[in-house]
Amino acid sequence: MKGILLRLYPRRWRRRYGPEVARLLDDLGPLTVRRGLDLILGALDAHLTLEVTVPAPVRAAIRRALIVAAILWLVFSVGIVLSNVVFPRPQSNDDGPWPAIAYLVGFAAFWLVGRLAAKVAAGWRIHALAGAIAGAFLGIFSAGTFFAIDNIFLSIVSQQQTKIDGLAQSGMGSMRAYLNHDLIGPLVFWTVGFAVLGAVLAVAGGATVHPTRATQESAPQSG
Amino acid sequence: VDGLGRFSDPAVLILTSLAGGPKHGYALIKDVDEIARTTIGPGTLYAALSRLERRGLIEALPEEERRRPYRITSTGAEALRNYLEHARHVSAAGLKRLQAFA
Repeated sequence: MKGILLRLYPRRWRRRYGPEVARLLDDLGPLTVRRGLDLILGALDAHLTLEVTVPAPVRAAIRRALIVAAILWLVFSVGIVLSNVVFPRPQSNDDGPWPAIAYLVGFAAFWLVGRLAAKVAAGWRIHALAGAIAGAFLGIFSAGTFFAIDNIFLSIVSQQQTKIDGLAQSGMGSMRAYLNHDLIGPLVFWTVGFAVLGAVLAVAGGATVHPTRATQESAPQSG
Repeated sequence: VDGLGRFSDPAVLILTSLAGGPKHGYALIKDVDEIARTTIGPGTLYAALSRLERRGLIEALPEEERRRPYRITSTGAEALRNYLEHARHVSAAGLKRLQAFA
């Protein structure tokens, strides 16, 4: 029973503390219900503690990815507010070159995420994970920005011709309901699409960095 | 110690115990039981020990027969001292105010 409870802990945790906890349980004598529950909660805590389950280089790579994604999201959010609220163009569907530029900047950022991740951790899987997290973050938070703007500045956003036409075609009862419903698709598409794209571009970016001895040694062992 | 969340209480007890010298898990549980009349479970003990170790407040010593002793570091001693002095200040203020109920 003690062995089963110890197997509930993450492998990395067991490698470090397993033998001494096994010895402690031997010293404490028969396993009580209270002690067993305490071990189960401890195992749960260990799984939820990223410092235990995720190696330090991977955490560093993810941290860098999130910083890049957060900066990008802030820049995009400013652009979204400017084009939809501050300088809205109700009669025009043409946003000029900005959407294309925004996508290109996003792609470059994913590539950069791969390079930054490669400087702290070796292995294309880690670079892909960092890129995917950056992409998913950007997708979710960009959709969140649109959600906030659509609901806070509804009177301004609802004057856009595309929104008026969309509401008429949707048959929905209110502009707010239409705008929020209309965001579900982009939320899923951006989150999944950016995550996949982020992973691919980050692997490409990471491949341009020559792994150092430090990153190779700090790379997590498989298994 | 403040950043240890719900493990701050066991962490303070562990640091207090280790201030008296290095101890392994079983000795820690017995010592804490003696000084604080509270029993720390093995899961809670090692959750707190791993946090204290990662923060450099304690350090592991070489293993002896599958028992690994831990020792408080100078950073850990300073953190414990700060915590206990703050606790003493709060305790003194509370006891003084409670005199009104005597």
